[in-house]
Amino acid sequence: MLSRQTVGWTIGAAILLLIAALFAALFAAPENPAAPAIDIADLLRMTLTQAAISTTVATISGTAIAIALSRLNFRGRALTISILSSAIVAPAIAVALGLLTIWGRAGLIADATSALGVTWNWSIFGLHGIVLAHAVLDAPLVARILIDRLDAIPADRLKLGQCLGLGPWQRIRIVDWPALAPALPGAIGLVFLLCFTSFPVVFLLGGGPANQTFEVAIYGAVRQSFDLGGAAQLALVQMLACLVVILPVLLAAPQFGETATHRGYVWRPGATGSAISALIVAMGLLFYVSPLIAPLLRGLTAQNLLRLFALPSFWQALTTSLLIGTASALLTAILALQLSLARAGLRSRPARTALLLPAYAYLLTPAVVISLGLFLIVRAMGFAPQSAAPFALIIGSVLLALPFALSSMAPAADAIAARYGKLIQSLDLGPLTRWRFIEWPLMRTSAGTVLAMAFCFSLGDLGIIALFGTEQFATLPWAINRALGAYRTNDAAAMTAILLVLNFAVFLVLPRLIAGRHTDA
Amino acid sequence: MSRIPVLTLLVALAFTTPATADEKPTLTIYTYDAFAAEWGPGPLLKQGFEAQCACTLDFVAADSSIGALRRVQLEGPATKADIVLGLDTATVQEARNTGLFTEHSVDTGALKIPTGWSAPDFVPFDFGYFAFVYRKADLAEPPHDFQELAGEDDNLKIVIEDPRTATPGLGLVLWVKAAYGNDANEAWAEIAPHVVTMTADWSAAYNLFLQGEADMVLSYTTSPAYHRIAEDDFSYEAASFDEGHYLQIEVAGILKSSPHKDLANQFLTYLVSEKAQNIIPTTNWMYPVLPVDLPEGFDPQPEKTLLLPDDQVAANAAAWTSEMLAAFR
Repeated sequence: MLSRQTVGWTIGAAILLLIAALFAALFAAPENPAAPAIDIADLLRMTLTQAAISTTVATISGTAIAIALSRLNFRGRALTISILSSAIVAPAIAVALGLLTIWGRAGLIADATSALGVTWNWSIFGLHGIVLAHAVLDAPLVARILIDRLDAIPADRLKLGQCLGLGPWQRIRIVDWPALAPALPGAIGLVFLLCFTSFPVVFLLGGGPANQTFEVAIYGAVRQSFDLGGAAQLALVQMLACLVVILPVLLAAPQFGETATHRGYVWRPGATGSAISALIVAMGLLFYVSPLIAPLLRGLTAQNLLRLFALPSFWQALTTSLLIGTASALLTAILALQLSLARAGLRSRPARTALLLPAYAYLLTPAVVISLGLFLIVRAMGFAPQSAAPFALIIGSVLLALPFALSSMAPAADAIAARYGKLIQSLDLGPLTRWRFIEWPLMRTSAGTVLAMAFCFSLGDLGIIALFGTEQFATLPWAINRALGAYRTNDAAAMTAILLVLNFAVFLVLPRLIAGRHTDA
Repeated sequence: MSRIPVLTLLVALAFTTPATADEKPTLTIYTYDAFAAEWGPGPLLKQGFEAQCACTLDFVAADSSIGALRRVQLEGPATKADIVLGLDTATVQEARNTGLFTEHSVDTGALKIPTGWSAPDFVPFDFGYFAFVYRKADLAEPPHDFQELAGEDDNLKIVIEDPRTATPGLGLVLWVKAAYGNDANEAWAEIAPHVVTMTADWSAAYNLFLQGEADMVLSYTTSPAYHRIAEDDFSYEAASFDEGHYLQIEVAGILKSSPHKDLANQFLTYLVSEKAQNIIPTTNWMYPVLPVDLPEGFDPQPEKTLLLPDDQVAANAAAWTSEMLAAFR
């Protein structure tokens, strides 16, 4: 029987090898000397500015939502938290398009203001539009991460604070802040990375070349100038820039605390405080949910659906998406589990970081690089890209989901090692018994989340299918793109709505099914 | 760990299709997606050609025509493709420079293309003109040239495609260049304030326009015909520009590496036959290269055509694109 550490290091090494192979494949590919020169310093400045502003706005609003939620106790609070969690799997392109239907020139607000006789001249295109979209997508994420910390504040502390009669600001400073501070670097780091590497949002709402990210420039280098070597260089700069952010975060962030958090005590503020808190939570939900509702209303009409259901290609795409999603989810869960368990058995902090670093590196690798690299590798190995397409799709989705899967599973595995490590040792439990009686029951909640998340990531992929998709091999997002490319906007709207429903249904329901009675998300 | 190979195997089985045992040769055509889609010309052309060729015709769709070319470039001589279909006037020279294409033996003498056609390596099969499309109800007096467009009130917004990633975007750069030559720079500076955004591809731009985010969208003179014929919606028009409209000719070429060159030539001959050309207008929404009767709903072609020579385009496209982008910084 292989030791858990051996398995873990093998997986880590395999992932690292794959990254190296992807970049090697790109660097080996022809450069295009005629390609327009790219001003990397300018690009870095634009990307950093955008990411910094977006992260600041998203973190502040997310923190406000979390603090407000911690003041409240109402039916549907658990559901509210679940909805906020779903931001991680919300397809960015659908949210960006949805934002237009609210904030755009012909959107809800413009309609409302013109009904009042005021012209709505605000344009969503530009830096502010990007920031708005990122805030909508990422503030719920920040809130979701932080609310766990706030809910975990021991009841004694809360009761003591209440007895001392702390004011609202004192409460934030003295009671909330110590709980929030350890989790903030991780949350900020994650949001920064997401904004730094953002692609569909910047492309749709950027308004032109004045707002770009590395991802956008890499896409252009590949697509237009066929400068694969240049694209690989840009990707490397992006990775380095992100590493500067992610390394300190990984090293500085204390390991996550307890797994399951049950609120011990609710310290409710006075009437004004409660009202303000309720308002903040309601606004947060409104900002996040409203752009998602618009595409649903537009897409789910009987006429659209009937037309769509008659298309054989739709059913084909749906089946492919579901199969690929299932395979990706299972593989992600297995890999994340092996890595987490291996890591939980390690003591030294550098080793613990090193084990997860390869998986995190994918967060920084642009989808174009993954997709193009896989394509080149498949070719070099002598396979037809069409026959390799399902594998490339699965590998790509797994790699994209793995960092998020680890951030959910690794703390759970650590907590088990800390709490039951000695017990396991003294009982001399074999790996299977240990798994069956101790680890699985405690990790199934996290496993459910990971499966659902990986499934949704795979469902939403548009980066990898872009190179591997054909009319015979299509996924749902690919089919949406095809419909949009042929004036068939109604089909696209219906499929987008179905994709959204599927996404949220899986994300909200699957973890509950797997966790069984152990639900405590 | 032993579960992973089993899983991989299961997925592999799920996607493996049984091999076909027939001995007929297969002609493989790489093209852009809308061409091969079930609503595009692909299926009808396949049906028509297979009825006469004793062969199997396979369309393999990339996300765009440039994507199809990139795929062939990546695959090199080992590619399965016999033909790349859908390249256009702006990209044909780049395709030529790859050295992957060979000459065809199709008689193109009878083809009717506004600027004529004489290239020995690519066969033109349809064409269209770039144009700004608008809703009649929103724009009673559409601009009649780029100067009028530039002089419109700042509230008149247009959405265009990024020339680095989308053929219409590049087409617009060439259009303005062909119309204004060395003054293109200033023209761009005046047009820029009207551009609400620049999208990655045609579909994103068109979709934004349909959603009401802009008054006009860079598309084709034939776009209104789609709404009229397929949707029975007569509210869209293409603005007619006095400077002329830039021409986009779509072409197909045979690859040097193809083992089926005779068959490939037969297909291209079929592609420009009256039978195939009748299919093009209402499936690909472009003008046919033979004078076949256009269905009701198509506007007459623009009177003045603009087109820059292939070699000039290939040599300067990058510089002109940078010049245009500079106006937006």
